[in-house]
Amino acid sequence: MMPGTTLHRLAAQICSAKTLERVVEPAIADLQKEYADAGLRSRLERARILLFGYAGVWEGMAMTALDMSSRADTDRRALLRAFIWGTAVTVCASAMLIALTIAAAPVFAPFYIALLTPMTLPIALPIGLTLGIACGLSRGPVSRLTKRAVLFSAVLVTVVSFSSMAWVKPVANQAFRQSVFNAIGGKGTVVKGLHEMSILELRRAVNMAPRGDVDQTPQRAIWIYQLTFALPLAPLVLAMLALALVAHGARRATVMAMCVAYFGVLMAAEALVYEGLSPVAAAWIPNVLFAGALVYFASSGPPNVQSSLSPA
Amino acid sequence: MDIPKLSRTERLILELLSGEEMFGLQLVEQSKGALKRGTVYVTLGRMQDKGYVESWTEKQSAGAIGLPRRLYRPTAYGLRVLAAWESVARALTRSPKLRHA
Repeated sequence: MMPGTTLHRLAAQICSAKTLERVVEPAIADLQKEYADAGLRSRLERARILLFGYAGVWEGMAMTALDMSSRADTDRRALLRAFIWGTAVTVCASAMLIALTIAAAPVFAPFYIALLTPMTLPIALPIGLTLGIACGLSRGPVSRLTKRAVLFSAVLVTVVSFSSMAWVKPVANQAFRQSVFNAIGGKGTVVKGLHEMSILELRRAVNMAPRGDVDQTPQRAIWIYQLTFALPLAPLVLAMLALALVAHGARRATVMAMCVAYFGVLMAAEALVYEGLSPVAAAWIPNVLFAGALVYFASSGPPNVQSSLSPA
Repeated sequence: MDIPKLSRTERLILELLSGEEMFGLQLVEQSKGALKRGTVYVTLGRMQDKGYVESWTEKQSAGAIGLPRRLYRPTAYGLRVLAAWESVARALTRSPKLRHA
């Protein structure tokens, strides 16, 4: 498959026809040509072409979103407000989760903050994004351009969240545990827990788990494995629902309550796993419920709600 | 009469394109680091809106895979704006010398 094919398909969903024709397609076409010309060059060179090529396409898409927003001062101010609120809430939520973990650890070193940050992102990012929308965009009507910019941010946050959960968090968590173990005088290697396993290791743990085992560990492995895919979708589901609620005239507090409710449902679902609920169902319950609410608001709301859900 | 606005990047693009039609990536390479591949297509799109450049997709040979590349060239209007800006720039660089003389 030619590089950029999937990105082209994704861009077709989230970008306008003009952006697709003028920014995305020329950038991808140049990337494909450059990559094809580099056929006989080293792997490193081809990887460099892909890295810079993809970064260029994403940067172009982000630039277009910002450029469009700059056409209207009101849009720009609303987006800036949402961005500032979103960033501030994400940092606060992340700091709180880190502080709670560090408080429970017997020792402290400043670099623990860096090691614990990836663990907090899948929770802090959707909270920040949703509250950013609630505080930044609830003051007036939300334009189509602002909705597109928010949707683009939500997709980006989902990608970051998934990358963090699938690859960065397991490594960082294990490094944190090992470091604490060594600091209190422990010797040897700390055995990985389920949260420290990569996707492949988790998959293996899930496949090896005996069916119908009364021991909770296999169930937990399935729960964490499913959560790796389900939780990163939270920013997308919550952002779309927050946009729909804002367009519906909902107050800030309602949007905030919706965000709290999502994590409340997630915690309840986790508790139900121990009562015998399928961990696969439990992990996806919040997304399904809130996607259902989204469909409800889209179909029953005023016309501007429906337009808020159309991607481009 | 106001001269249409022309940013430094837009001027550079028009200067590069005045020699020959080019692809976006060619412009980035020819600019020796002055243009970035993430922003060049956005700027080119904006310049199209202003009527400074025009573009079209290359004809692909049968069996070619991948998306067709987009070629850019300046419009007559774009070249006139560039010429106007160059004459203004020349006049501004000359004026201090004239004052000193």
